Amino acid sequence: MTYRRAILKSLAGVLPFSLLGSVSGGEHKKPEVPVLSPGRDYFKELGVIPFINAAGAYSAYGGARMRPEVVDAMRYAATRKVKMNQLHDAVGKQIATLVGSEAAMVTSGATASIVLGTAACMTLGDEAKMRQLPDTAHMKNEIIIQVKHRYTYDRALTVAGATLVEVESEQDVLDRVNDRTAMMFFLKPTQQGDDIAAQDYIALARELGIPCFCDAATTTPPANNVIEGVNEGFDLICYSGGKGLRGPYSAGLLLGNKDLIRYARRHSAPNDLSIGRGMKVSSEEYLGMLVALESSLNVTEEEDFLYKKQRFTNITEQISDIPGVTTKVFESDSITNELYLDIDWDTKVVKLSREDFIAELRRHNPSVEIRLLLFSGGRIQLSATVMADGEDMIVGSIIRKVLLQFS
Amino acid sequence: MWPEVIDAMAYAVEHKARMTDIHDAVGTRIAELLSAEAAMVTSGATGALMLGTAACMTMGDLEKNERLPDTTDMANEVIILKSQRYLYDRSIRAPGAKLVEIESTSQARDAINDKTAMLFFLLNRSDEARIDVEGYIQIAKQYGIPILCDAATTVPPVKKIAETMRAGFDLVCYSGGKGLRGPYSAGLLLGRKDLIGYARQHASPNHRAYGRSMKVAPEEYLGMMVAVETSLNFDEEKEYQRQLNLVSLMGRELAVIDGVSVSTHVPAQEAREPYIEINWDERFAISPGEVKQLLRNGKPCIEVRALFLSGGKLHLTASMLEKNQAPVVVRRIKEILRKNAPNPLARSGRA
Repeated sequence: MTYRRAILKSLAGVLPFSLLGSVSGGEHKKPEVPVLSPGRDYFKELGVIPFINAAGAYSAYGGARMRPEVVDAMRYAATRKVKMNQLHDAVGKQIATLVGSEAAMVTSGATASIVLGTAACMTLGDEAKMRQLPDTAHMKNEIIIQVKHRYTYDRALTVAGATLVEVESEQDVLDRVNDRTAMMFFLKPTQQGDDIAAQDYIALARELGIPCFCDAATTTPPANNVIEGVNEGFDLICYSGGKGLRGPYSAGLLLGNKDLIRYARRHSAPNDLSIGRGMKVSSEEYLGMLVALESSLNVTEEEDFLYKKQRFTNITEQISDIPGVTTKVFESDSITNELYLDIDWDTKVVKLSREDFIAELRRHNPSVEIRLLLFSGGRIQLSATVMADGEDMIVGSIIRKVLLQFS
Repeated sequence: MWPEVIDAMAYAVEHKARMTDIHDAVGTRIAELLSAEAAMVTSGATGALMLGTAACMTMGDLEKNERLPDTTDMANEVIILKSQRYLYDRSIRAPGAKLVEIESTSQARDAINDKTAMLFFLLNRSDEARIDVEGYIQIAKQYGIPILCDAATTVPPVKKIAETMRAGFDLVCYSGGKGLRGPYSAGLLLGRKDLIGYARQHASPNHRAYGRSMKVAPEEYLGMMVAVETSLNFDEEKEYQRQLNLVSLMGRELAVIDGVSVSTHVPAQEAREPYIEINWDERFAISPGEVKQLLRNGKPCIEVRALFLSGGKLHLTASMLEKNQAPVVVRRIKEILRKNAPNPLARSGRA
């Protein structure tokens, strides 16, 4: 809210153009264009139902909540003009220094990082090949992937024209690598584990002279994991910008080898040689991503946990007296050190199924989304990552109301 | 960006809603405003071009969606006029389409076959007068093949969008961050409801979509909608006059240098953006390219129109120029030209 007010204040009196009447002419009926006023409630106008996000930073829910300093940086960039490549050079350099990588680029998200990184490994700066994509005739176009690392987003590996070659052991890698192998892909973390551990996989790639790419998109917070990830020695590693790092929604990072990053940049906007021109990144996002990373690296895990635990306490205090209800704060067992609040109840006392509970929260006004059962292993879990100040109190009172209603 | 757009973007940063809910509502609203059947916000005009092409190749077939850019056994040919090959046709090929060139629109009939996915048209090129656009659209209708139009450079005037939609194209692409003054990495795909639906299947936030990498933020959805509203409310004639006055004023200031001539131009075809062309006689020891370079490297850094777009001449436009910036630009160009003037009087600054 403060940002909104600040921006309105800063714009007052400097509106460069007057906004006059409605559009004239045209034999077709013009829909009425609303009078533009600064206090517009767009979602209300549009009939879009807003919700409180107690689920986590998912793309479909609009990602994370950006830190105020990220929003400030974006506003700074939105009101100043600079050449995109120059800004990208400077931001990339700064990010690389922060995380200790040789080079860095900002992409339009972790998926774009995968597409551009793959394209870079297939073409290695060869302009004719870059122009030829996604047709990969006469170029390296095979990507080695562990069967246990097959996942939803491996779709991005084939967008630039590559094909996937599955492996289950080091011997498989040795057997399947050939002249057309462009890249070895690694995913972390996986629920199924790895057949070949990261260090062995990297060593193997190095021995075979093949670039090794790691998708570590979901391994933050803490942001320190980025530094550790870079340290592991992958040639390229990518992160989501709009989730754990609380940066801009459609931004991500690609970090690693200087040459590969340079090649990847030539595939991407604003350059138009290759397939990535559609993956545009704005100047706001370049700068926002840098500031998001800086801020995230400055927040220790203890501070982050303390903050989230306080939010959970504000919720549990409102429901702990309801008979049959138990709550527990726990740390997820994956590489991402995320805190969740687990809520459980005796269904003989509170006569409500998990599915119905979720539906009740969704139907409520204001609407609340919690972690999908699919991700929580069928349990009721809340995340404090995206909730705004005060929303924890509201969520607590809604949950109390729903649980009591079925008690 | 319009101040209203920045405000809308700030709102979307604060308020959370499901991405598809926002996109549905914003799409409906934009379609209504621009006389289109349906609309979606993309990551830019190129994003619109890629998703539109992908939609025409897959037509909602989920199995085909999953396979792109491998287009074996699907309609993957895009018909394009040879005279309309351009920088961004690269992006038509990105999802796996193949370009089939024709010399004139009447040849489209012969080029169409089972593999034809789409007819392509680039709006507002200098060759337009020689092209039978209506006939081309008719052929598309007759054979039931979608026709996509790249109209990215045709705004302002924003009113032209509704006109273009009425011409009968099935899909039309626009840039969001340029003439519409919306978010930099946003664009519009407008057109047939079924095709927009298919294009959205290919787009973010769908996890396994071909275009998941071309992410659009909630700020960009809302910002794009408000950019369209604001542009429609805006008095384009007045803005055109402002630009014309500003460039004319700059032209008069520059023409006082001996040996320098300035002419004012208003392009009829492209976006209606007045500009001045600055010429100086051959006795000056500097080329337009060198002036451009000195302007770029000077303080403050000044960018003029790219020479390949201006036929090697020095062009100045005012669409991005604020009133107080114009004297600075004039002063810098004067300095540079005078330093390289043949006449010592001019060099001393007294001419």
